Amino acid sequence: MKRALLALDGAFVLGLGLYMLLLTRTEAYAAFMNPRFRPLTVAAAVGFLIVGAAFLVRPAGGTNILRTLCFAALGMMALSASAGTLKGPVGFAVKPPPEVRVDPDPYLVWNGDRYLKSNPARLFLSVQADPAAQSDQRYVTRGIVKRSAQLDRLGKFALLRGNMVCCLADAIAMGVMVAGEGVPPLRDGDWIVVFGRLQPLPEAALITDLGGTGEVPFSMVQDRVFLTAEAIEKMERPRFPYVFELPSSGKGPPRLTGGDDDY
Amino acid sequence: MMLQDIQLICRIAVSIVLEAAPFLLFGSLLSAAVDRYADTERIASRIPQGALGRITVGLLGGMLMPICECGSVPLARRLLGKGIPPLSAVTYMLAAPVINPVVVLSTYVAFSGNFQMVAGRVFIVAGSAALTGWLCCGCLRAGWPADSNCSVSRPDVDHLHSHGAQSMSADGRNCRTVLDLLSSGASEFLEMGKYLVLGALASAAFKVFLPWQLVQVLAGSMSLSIVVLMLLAVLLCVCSEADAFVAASFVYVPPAAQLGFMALGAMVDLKLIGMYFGAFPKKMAWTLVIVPMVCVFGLTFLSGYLVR
Repeated sequence: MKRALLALDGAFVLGLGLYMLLLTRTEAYAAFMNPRFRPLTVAAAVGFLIVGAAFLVRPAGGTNILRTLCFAALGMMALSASAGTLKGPVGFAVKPPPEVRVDPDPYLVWNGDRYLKSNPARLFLSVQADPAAQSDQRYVTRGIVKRSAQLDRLGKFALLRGNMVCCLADAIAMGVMVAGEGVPPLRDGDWIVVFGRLQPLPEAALITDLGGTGEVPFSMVQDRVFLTAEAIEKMERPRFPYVFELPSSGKGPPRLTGGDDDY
Repeated sequence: MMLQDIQLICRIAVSIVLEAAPFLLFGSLLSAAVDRYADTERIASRIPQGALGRITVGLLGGMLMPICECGSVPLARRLLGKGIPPLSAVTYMLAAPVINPVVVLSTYVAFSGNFQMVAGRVFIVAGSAALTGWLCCGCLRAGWPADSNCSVSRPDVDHLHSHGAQSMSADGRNCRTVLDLLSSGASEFLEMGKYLVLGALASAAFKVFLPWQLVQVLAGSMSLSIVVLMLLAVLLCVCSEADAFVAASFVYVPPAAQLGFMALGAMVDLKLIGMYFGAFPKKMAWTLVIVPMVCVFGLTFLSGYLVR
């Protein structure tokens, strides 16, 4: 019994290494972790494979049924989490990220006007860094719709995007309020593209009844400005629903930090 | 509970494990290496006898040997088991995840060069770690408990091959030594890893079911916002390398509350609470949970009048 439990423990360590290695070779990694940590996960995966193999060859220490059960539970959670990810557009197909990332054009031309590509989280952070910034700048941004009683009273809805710093545990859905004429009927969870400009609100409107988006349990919407929509189009959920902005990226030059999927 | 919620809980829990596991493995291997190779008696004999000296050793160790909070627990457990004074070992364990250059720099970047936030975080954590270490000395006055699970994890003798150690070549002995070191590291990881898994699961469930609207409303006043963000730090289990960026995102709360989030999260969170109770005697584990909370609240509340 003891040997069987130890063998199982070793197999779990080995399995964790294999899972991490496989995950880093897939696009699904970005649904769990910020892709900039991919090298760290690869290094750790190799470490787990080595120590797991060593443990299987020469097991150390005693057994503990609780720890075996915990790692079995982790295995089941990993399978369940991956199954959930499989249903989305981010597949589990082994498709390593491109080694060289080509910087996409930060602008999009639409109806003859140039729109700066920016995700809602970056808009949030830009306004936070400089509330008076670029009121004449046209933006195109993609995000998830969130409605609430407070927003309805203001005649607006929130456009949000899950922003991950390190891993999904620290992700916060960030974004801006949107208002405009001829807005199509939108429901919570709809993915849309908005073309528009930022305008200051007459007075700060702190929204405290947002809740989560389904992708991320916690949301924050910028309370000093809103996006006046010139056009709104519905879209499919993007391949990468999360973005990876830092508070400092609100001050950065207009560029897409994570490629063309990043606005 | 909907299927979507369960899947989100699983994804968050797995992401916490993916984030923390590399550091826990590093700490476990370091712990196994200390057990086998470090001359801890000699190190212990060179540590000053006075409290101030021991605290300084713990803090200097934290600055010079960066390690994440998950990795510092198995290492500190090993150091305590090998006779390093609790005041140095505990101060190191609690302070190292924050006062190391990597985290100091990440805090500086996250708060756009706001030196007050960096200094505030370092001083609050160093102060709390030193006081907690001092109080933990009382918990371990009778020495490191013999029945604790800090006993050295050695490979099973059953697995020794039939040929004896004497007949083994030097290469074979070296190979076995490396194998033993790696296996001990894996054993240490498994032992601490169970608390990581349980903590990650609890944290994910809290994150999904927490009434966030209430959190935003409560975050309105300074004292309440400090309590709320400290509670979030415990529940969310964000790594100390990244928590400054998360804290900086909480733009609606006063800086003191952001400080409370960053200072406490590296010392007490759900996965660490499990690890403390698994690695240390109960009285010491309670000290490790409660004292940093009280210290961080008091110091961040005071800092609220200084950092604005």
